[in-house]
Amino acid sequence: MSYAYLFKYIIIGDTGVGKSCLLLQFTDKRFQPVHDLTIGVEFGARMISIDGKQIKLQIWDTAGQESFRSITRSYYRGAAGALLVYDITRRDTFNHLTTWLEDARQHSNSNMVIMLIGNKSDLEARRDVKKEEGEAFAREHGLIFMETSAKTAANVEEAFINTAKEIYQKIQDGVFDINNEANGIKIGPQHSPSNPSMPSGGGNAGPSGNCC
Amino acid sequence: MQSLSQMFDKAGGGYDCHATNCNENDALMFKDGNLVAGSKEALIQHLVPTTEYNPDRTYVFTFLLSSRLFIRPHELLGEVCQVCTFQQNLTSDHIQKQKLGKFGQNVIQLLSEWTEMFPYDFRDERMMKQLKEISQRVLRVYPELRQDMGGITHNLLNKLAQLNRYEEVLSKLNAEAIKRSQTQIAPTTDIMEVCPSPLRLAEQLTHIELERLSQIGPEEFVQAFSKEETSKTVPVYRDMKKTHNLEAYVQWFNRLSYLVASEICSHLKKKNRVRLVEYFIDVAKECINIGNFNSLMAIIAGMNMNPVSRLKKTWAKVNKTKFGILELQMDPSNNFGSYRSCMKAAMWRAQGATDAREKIVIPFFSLFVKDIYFLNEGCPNRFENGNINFEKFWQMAKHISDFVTWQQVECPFAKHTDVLHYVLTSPVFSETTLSLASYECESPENSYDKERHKKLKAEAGL
Repeated sequence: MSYAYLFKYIIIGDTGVGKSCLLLQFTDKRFQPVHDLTIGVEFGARMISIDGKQIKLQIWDTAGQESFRSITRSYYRGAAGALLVYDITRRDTFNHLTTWLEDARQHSNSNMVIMLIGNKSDLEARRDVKKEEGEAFAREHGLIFMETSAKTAANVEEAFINTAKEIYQKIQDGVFDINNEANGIKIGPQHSPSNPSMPSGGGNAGPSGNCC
Repeated sequence: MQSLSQMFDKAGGGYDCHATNCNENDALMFKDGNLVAGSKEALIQHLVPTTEYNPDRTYVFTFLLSSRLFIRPHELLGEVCQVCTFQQNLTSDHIQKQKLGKFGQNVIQLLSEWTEMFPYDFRDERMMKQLKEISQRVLRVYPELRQDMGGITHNLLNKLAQLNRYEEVLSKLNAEAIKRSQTQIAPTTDIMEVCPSPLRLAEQLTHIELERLSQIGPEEFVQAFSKEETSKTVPVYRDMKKTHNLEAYVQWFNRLSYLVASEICSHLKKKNRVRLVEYFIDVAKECINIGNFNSLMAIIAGMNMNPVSRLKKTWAKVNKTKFGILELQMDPSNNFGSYRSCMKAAMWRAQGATDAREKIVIPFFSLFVKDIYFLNEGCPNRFENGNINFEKFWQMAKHISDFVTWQQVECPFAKHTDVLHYVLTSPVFSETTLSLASYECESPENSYDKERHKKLKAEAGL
């Protein structure tokens, strides 16, 4: 399916905070008895629509690879957005945010949009990190913030889409150099760089959310 | 004899029970003839040998691999023994051997497969005790199987002794690397001096890869994510974890990446850095030819690390097209499409191999782990009715059986101990030292780097 832009995302955060669940939830891969990733070539991708434009999100999840330090770091290069995830029921995952943020800032391009996510909001009874603390951390470091539940799907769509909106806004404002792929943004095959405001998908773009 | 992965391949879409003489009943569920789910009890029952039934090798592997998520290995072996004893009435004083048919051979077969596929399970007194008990019970009726049983025990003890030796070697190497990093600040020699030939280095890296790869127990993949299950079950898995070979292999990957970055950043002269970058590009190219994708990725990752990738003046002098081809291997688009097709080609080559060199397939381990991780995360272990999702574990076992095949390759290259020693123990820079060295090589240009340089220098007391 054709798209106006492709944004590359990375999902980071401690082991067990629910990174893979967020991705599986967002890409509609949850609740299948078995699926083989080595076959699905488009795993981790989904189409969304912003401002009437089709945007393809390509998401690199670092889940299960946290201990391969040099690998996770090379994913930062060429990412336009990052979801930095912690678990609201585990304070240690919140305490590690500074390290993750430093890591991200060091290895990514300076315009990368970072969304802070407090996951597992369905486990209110076991909450260990107040929502206000997440908000304060985000404010202090200039991040967008949201609490999600990969289990109930609450705010999952919003987390991915709001990040995309922010990136899209930065493109409109001319902050992102869309001709440099190292920024994690690619212009769709039918869109010449000289005319980024061309209508999307040649008018035949299908409904969003069914690309994989 | 067919390898395990060939047996999985031949089975195709799933485990076909009918071909293996299994009773269809309420407790086991089928779809298109393949076993897809079952209760824990029914699945255990399907593992137990009888007078004429012998579980298929693929079933044994799948169930032993995944059952540890629901029942600890020693409990499982205990239950198998109990069912055997009860079904065949082994406690009776008047056992009629003719009535038992091939029961003895079948039990020995199961024990042989268990000890061969999951030897590390027996790093546990309880397992050893049960193994002894069941084999004694069988040998009392079938004294002629004594030699077979002796062989099984012998191989098992060998494998466990080998594991001990491996762990000792690793801890010695680690201790030496730590000691050297404390006593020596700047390296006095570099890898090109120790090993001028890129091909030779690629071959030595393959030695290390195969050695570390071969020690990983298949169950370590399952344990790696099972410990993240709900907190109340954590003690169960801690108790189960007997080895850390998977972690040691990950550690090696990180070490190689940092070694590459350290080697490049430790040269103050640009000319030398260019020489090293081109050398590692050649090493990486040789790794592809060999089929050693893990070292390839570690080298590329090392060169992509910020302290190396920011050295613009150095990179300006490097032949970039050559690096571009390599980097394509690590391009995550299409779910690592380029790597996966290259990997397929290596697997085909290995299947038709006539030369030991063509048999080598060393996967990009981080991605292999991730695939299994997602297979686990993406599908439930149990269904709502409590049945175990056997189809999922069959898929997982199929993937891991490929890994078992790759593990069995003997490294055909001559060993060069000086090179191996250098690669394994030469000090690598820490994150901070690496950044500082990089700023020494080419001074910071943008405001972020300038600030960071100042901060790091202050922290290091420079």
